Amino acid sequence: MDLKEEGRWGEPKGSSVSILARLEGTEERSCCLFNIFLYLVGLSTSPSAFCLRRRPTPSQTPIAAAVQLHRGVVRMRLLTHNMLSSNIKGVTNGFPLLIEAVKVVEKEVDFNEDFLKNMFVKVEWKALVEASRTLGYTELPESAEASMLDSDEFLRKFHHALLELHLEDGALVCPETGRKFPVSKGIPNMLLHEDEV
Amino acid sequence: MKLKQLESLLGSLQQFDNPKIELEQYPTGPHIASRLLYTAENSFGDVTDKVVADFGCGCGTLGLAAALLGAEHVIGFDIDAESIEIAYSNADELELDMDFVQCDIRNLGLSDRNIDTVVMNPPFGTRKKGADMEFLSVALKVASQAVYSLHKTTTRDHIKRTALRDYNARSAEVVCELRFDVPQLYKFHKKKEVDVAVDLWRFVPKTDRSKDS
Ligand SMILES: C[S@@+](CC[C@H](N)C(=O)[O-])C[C@H]1O[C@@H](n2cnc3c(N)ncnc32)[C@H](O)[C@@H]1O
Repeated sequence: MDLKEEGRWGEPKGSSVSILARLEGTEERSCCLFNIFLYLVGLSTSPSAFCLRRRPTPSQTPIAAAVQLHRGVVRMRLLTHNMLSSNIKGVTNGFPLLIEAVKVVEKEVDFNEDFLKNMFVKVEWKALVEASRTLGYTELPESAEASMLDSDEFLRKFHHALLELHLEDGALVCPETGRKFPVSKGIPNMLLHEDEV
Repeated sequence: MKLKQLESLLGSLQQFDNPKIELEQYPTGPHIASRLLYTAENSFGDVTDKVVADFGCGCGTLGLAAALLGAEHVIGFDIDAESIEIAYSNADELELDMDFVQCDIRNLGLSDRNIDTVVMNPPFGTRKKGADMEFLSVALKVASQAVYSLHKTTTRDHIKRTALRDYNARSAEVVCELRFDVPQLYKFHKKKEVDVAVDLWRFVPKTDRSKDS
């Protein structure tokens, strides 16, 4: 099935080059095989057992192929957690959702300073701090203010918490009712039961 | 990325196995999906480096197109686990990061602080009248920059009026008029193809909501 076009589309300003680089970059991954090994043989119960990392410089090592097996893509990020709340009937403050972490995954992504500076005013900082702690990352300061954005160290931590930590399995929990929204394969199920809407 | 490249990548995506009639599951074809996102980025700068939400993401076409154009964070929302499953493997296939949330758009608790742009091909409301309007209302509540959406051309006046008057839209413009060839997906379609005139809209939400505190 397809849609046919009639009429005119807006005039493009030009094509974007950076995306190509991004696509190529994703092929150049390696990972902490040892961690995965530990996890697989059950020696590691650390929530950060998996650690997929994208190499800063391209390389054609055999390890890159091993990640293919692993498919590389992980989810759910804390940025997503930061915008969800419990909307059960009668609940007055369903934010932030508490987290029960069963499996946590880390994956390095490109650092985008402008994006972070933009996001800083938009995220609920306290919720992000709490959430990242639940996932085992304790580096974020309790409170933060705009002046901290000048610090590269701060930005890196913010970046890591917001975009590189993933809740793969567990649950999001309504802070008022304790109702659990299960998260499996990184996908939270926020569907409400009939008597909850 | 060139438009042609984007279109051909989207053409490789897997689509609904067993489309569910009551959820109005039909995909946006690669031709329109690529142009929708391409226009959003190249004419308006609403995609690259943005947080983009795909409402009723189905198999993920629109959201993945946004990711291909360099959106920083993409989230697909759909009520149907099976579709999300397909979108999930489509994302894997292209090695693109995309988060998913299984939910009913109509009663989702979603903050109006984090999302820049919403892209969607909502249910047109052929099964349940007004379904597209429910999507639009939520989209205009949560987006801070723009909402791109497809609606039947026959409802054009109604959409413009409602968006501006009731849904917090500052502007509502038809970017492009399209013909939507819906093949015979469902048995109740008598003709082989149903040809529907569809508008691509760009809505801009009012920004007087207090966003920073
Ligand atoms: C017309 S399809 C569009 C699919 C996909 N976005 C695309 O463009 O190919 C509409 C999608 O909305 C989903 N949907 C229908 N009602 C919904 C609801 N109340 N909440 C969330 N998703 C819904 C359906 O499962 C379906 O995937």
